[in-house]
Amino acid sequence: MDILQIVWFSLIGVLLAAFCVTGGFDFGAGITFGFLKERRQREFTINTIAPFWDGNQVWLITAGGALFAAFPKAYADVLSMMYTPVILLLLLLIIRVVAIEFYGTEDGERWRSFWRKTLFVSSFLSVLLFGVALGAIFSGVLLEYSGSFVSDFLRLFTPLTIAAGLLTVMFFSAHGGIFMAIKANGSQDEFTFAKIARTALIALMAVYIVYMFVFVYCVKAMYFPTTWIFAGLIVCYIPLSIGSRMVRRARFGSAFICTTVFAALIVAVHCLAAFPYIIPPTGSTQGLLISDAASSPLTLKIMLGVALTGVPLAIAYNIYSHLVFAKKKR
Amino acid sequence: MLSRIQFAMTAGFHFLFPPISIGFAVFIVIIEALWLKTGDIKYQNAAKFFLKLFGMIFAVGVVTGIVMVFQFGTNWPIYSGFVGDVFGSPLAIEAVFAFFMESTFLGIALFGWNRIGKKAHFFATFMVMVGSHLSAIWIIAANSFMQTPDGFQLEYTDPATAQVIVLPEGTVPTAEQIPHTKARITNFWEMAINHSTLHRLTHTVAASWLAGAFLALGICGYYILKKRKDVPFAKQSAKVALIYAAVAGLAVTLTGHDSMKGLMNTQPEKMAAMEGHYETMSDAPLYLFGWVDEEEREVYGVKANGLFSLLASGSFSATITGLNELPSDEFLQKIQPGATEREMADMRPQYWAPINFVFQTFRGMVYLGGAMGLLIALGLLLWVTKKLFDTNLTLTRLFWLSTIPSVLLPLMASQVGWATAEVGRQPWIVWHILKTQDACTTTAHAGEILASILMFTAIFSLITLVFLYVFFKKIKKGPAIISESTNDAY
Repeated sequence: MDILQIVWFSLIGVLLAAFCVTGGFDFGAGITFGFLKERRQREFTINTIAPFWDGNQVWLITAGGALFAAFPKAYADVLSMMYTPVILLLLLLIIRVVAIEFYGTEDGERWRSFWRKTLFVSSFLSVLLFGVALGAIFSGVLLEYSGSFVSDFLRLFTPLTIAAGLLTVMFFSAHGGIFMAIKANGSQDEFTFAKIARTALIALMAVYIVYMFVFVYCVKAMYFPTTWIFAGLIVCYIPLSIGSRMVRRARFGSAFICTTVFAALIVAVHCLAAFPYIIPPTGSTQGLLISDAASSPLTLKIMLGVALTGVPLAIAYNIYSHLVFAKKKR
Repeated sequence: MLSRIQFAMTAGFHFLFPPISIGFAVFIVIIEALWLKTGDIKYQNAAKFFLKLFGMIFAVGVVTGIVMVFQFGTNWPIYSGFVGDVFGSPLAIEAVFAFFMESTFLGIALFGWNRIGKKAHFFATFMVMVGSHLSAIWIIAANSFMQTPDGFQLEYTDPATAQVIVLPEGTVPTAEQIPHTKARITNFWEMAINHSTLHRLTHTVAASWLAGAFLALGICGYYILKKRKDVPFAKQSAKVALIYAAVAGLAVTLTGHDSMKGLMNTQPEKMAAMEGHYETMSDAPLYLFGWVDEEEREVYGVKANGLFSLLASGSFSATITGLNELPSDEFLQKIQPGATEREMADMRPQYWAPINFVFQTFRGMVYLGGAMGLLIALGLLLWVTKKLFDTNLTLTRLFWLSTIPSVLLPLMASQVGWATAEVGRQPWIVWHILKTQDACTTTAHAGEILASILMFTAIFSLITLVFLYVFFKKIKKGPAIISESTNDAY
């Protein structure tokens, strides 16, 4: 296999992790938003994510675009064989953004309550669906295509994909909860947001332990020894346990770094487990090899140049924007 | 077919928003530059106000854009596999270079007024504008590849022997070859800056400016008519918008003419279809309006002889090849080597776009452009005679009154213009390489696609309604929205 193909396989992982880390906090904030009781706290949440959600979502677009350019076959298979789930996900993303945009434009209680519920439900469902879809790609059930609508939809829901969906929901919630706790630091709602962050992180740890069992039961690594992959899974738990300590000490900045590291590690472990496949085989399908899905070396080279200049720039904008909004108002 | 309807619908809805945001971004940058230059607080308020509206338009543009990025895969898996090596990169580049810039700096520009200095804020707004234009460049580059593909070669993998053969340049793969053929990039810049990219880019960007200018003009027109005291920036902004509209209008006309000349070289079938031009002749007529009878190959309508020749080739006597000789013999010989004259004549119509449709949409675009031109001219005339804000005068009132619904004119023009470009490309999805019907097979069930059409229709209608409701309400409230509500609370 060509080194460029391996580089691009890793880069897709990086982009996915970047979306989980950035989009993670605004989608997560959208989920924890559902548990806020005071109007002031809800407004605070919306205002906190308002400058960021846009840029965060671009990581998802970039991952999609990069998959198209670097692995057209995988792009075409993944999206066309999950037609309805993908369309549902896209609709949920639209609805979510509309809810963020429109929530604050009217003061009336009914208006607010409608968009509040919409934001919560669309954030929750889109993250769940996103996790299930990733699980379906990772477990290869994606390619088990029978041609009948109902069984095709149901094939996506296996123990592993459901566990992956729940894990994604809990990770996004914990990550978003911690982000909100950082921002609420020093305000009168500090306590509420800290409590949400703590609860979500504990739930994440619980779900993760269950996920590890399901994973060990369902997944066979392709290239690397399966025991390594399991060891990797256990390593992923370390940042979570450090994070929970940080959250108890109200050191939310450090906790945010812990959940970020967790996201990066867990994506890496899954990429390693799937390697050299981009969609691993199942009992009845052949899977899709990285080398079969990849674009020509020239495209990969051009795109590598693009990624090496563009992604650092994007990170720089992101950091600048976070610095601007970390400052107090003048 | 359902899949094509669904794609056209989502693309059409998406395409309402980016042109406005591109054009409106330029307008806001001008306004903010005037604030920096003059220090007049009115301009600052105007910039704050218009940015709020911009944010809404952009948000809808972004989410419908996400749909576009993924729909190439959901709806066109064959197409995606066929051209992914070539077509994917401009899309990814757009996301990386343009989208991050635009969306991150928009967050700063919208919510950072109290956190950063004047110049830093201007920089953020400026970057939003740069980002929106970069994004136009790469999307048009990708789309132009479909119109005039270049910088690639076709590689056919023999399914029996797994041997890869590079097909000679200009080959049109057969339906059996397509699943085993891939376009491979050979020269990135030739692909991105192909024969039509520049024409189409300049025309699209100019049209977007016009859309932005007309939106600004319409909003100011409303305030001027209502004599709103709380909008002190309306008159100044209106002047800026009017000049901007005039410049954009001129640019649209020039680039449009350029595009037309470009089409004569790159896609003569499309140009001929847009004019319903069947017979090859000199002194070719331009129809002011008419109806194309596709059975009889005849156009009924009012024509100006020679004008088509003049516009397309610069002289009344220039010979313009008609559809009866297009696509060229040379091209048809590649598809069916050794075809006789008669066989070729029979083959031709299957390579024609829906002629009457593009004939009408093209005219629609031009006439909408003409209407905008008239309105701009009237505005400039009133300005020169110093009656632009004299709302006691009927003509002035009429002018401002018509600016309000005219916000829709550039949007309609860009929709029909886009329809002309894309439908005029048919039956090809990639010009003279891949036919749409060979690319649109998808694994999704008809029922699934139908369901998705229904869901998109429902959601889009809902969004449109809520969007318009909130948008109008914001305009009605005026600059009061700058300080209102949640968005600036922290």
